[in-house]
Amino acid sequence: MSAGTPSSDTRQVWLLRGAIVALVLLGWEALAASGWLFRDVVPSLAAIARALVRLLGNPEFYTNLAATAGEIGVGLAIGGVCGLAAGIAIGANRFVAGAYEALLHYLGPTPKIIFFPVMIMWFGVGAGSKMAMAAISCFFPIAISAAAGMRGIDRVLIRVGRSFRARPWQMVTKIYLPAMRAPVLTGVRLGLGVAIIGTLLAETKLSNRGIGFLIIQAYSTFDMPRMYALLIVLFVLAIGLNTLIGRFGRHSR
Amino acid sequence: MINIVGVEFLINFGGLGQLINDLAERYDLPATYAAIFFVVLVSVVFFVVTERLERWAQRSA
Repeated sequence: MSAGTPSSDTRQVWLLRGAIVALVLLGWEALAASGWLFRDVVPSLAAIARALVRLLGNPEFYTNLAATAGEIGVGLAIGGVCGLAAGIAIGANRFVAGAYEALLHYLGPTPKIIFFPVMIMWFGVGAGSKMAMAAISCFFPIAISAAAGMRGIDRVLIRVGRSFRARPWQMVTKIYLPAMRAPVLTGVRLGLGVAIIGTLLAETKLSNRGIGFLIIQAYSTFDMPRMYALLIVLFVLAIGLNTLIGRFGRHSR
Repeated sequence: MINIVGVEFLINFGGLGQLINDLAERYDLPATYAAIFFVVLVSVVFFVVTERLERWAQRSA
């Protein structure tokens, strides 16, 4: 089988993606029109589009979006810095790795939502507990990626730094971080995803603002077009952020 | 497991997620921490078992 040119391959990939999206939309519209499910559980695409327009024209939406973005941003910053520090410590020292790395791997897949009641008791019902959820959620993927990245650093670079008698902070900023950029960015991408999940789950459970709150409010009032419109906005934002971090990683190489 | 416990926690239809939620709402803190510890333990056991299975599959391949 002959391989096509890169541009024709890209075009085919885009065509296939478009076809999948069109197929899903057609299937959705058919399901909405079929009446197989309860009325309004699967609203028509036109109803969702109208709800999306209303949502984007409502200033209240942007206040809630800012609240969620702030919680995710602060949580990602706290969890990211802690995860990076833990990853560097584990990757740099065999003794620390032997003592703590297994714990990181074991606790990583634990569902973090179970800590939410504890976070409420520690940080209250406001934004603090949601930020804590985001921080806990993103800590593990970032720490694990940073530890792996730390081990992948060329030994020559480390020897050069030591021969110049670089201080620990200089080793971190001049050698470790630039050399482990790619795995750290992969960890941040994974961490961002789980931070969004953690924050939204927390907002859905107990909050009076944020996108999670708007989603559960729409669900409680059975305003399905609005709920789907919110989900679409959320998907688009998550994809956009993920792509942005990916591009940043490619540009900084 | 993350999704199942998360959904149980959000929508009360039983399971460990609902148990933790109920205990926290009753402010039974020792029991809440015990239930959280149990979920962590289950996920650790699950991780260890799948890790060993993976090693066994790699060896026998």
